[in-house]
Amino acid sequence: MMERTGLCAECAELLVPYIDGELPPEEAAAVAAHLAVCPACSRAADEHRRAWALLADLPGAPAVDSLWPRVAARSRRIAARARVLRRVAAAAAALAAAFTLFYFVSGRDNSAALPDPDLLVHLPVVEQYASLDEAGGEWLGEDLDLVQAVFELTQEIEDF
Amino acid sequence: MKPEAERGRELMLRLARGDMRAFEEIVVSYERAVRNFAFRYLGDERKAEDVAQETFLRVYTARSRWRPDAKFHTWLFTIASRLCLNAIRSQRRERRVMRPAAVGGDGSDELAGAPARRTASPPDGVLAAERAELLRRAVAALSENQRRALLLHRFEGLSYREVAEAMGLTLEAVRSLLVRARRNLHDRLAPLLRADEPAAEGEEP
Ligand SMILES: [Zn+2]
Repeated sequence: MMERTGLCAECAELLVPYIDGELPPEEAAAVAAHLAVCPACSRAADEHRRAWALLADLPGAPAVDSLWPRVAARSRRIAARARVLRRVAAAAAALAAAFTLFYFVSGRDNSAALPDPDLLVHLPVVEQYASLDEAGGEWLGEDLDLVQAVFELTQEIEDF
Repeated sequence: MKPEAERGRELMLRLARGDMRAFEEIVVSYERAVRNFAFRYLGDERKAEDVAQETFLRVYTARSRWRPDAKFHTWLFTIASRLCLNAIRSQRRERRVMRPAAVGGDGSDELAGAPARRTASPPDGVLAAERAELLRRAVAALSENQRRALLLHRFEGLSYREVAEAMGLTLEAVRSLLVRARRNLHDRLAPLLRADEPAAEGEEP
């Protein structure tokens, strides 16, 4: 059992960062000086080194084919959707302006001619996503469902 | 070190300009490291692969926001490490919903909380598989933060400062995580270290 003098206790806390080369120079020098005269701490340091070395055998992921084809396909999809989104946002904004003007001028209800009200309801979302994408924002995972829904709305615009 | 950092930076700048060749090079050069990291962290091959894919997609969507002064390698592992954390959390939620009391039967991802069965100390010639298993259990038994810091530092070569950046912690916190990780690994690695002396550095704080 190692002895724990004050110096050794202090040293024990510093050994790991010491062998990791992460101590400031003065502290590192102090530890080195102590190790030179203290076999117990010196052994402990050695054991840390061996423990770290052992870890190298921790298995990594089994080798598989490159992720690139899948990542490439998904990133192309993201880019395509982003382009569509920007188009939808522009078209929807133009539509909204047109209808505001229409109501203003005619003053009558002509709802039969209106596009799916969903589109107008979603307009802020579309704009938000489009601008998020402009900024290189992250909307992956569950966001993609929403983007998909918005994507489908483009069909409505085109039908209209 | 220098050329490596330089290369990541250069690839990122090219990707930001829309160069998909650069993106391909990023994925091909770093996928192994990212998958290894996620696998060692999560202990699940499929989830590790999902995390790796998602990591690169985030690199892609963030391409125009990436700051050239950020070290690419550190940034990449910041993303991967956050996604791993998310994966752990959703895994835990799933498990709570699906089988409240059970712990993964394959033992692949019973993490920090579950004390791995104490493996009877193997004799001198520990087989490679047993050895790998001992190491896996030892690392899996660490707290999530300790494990993350350890993997980033020991396997991905991040300095304490870079680990701190990747984990959103102070340098001091990282240092203490690694000291504790080493301490917590002590007992589990003892059979492998064939410690002939009881380690004095050992007890929990
Ligand atoms: Zn000493």
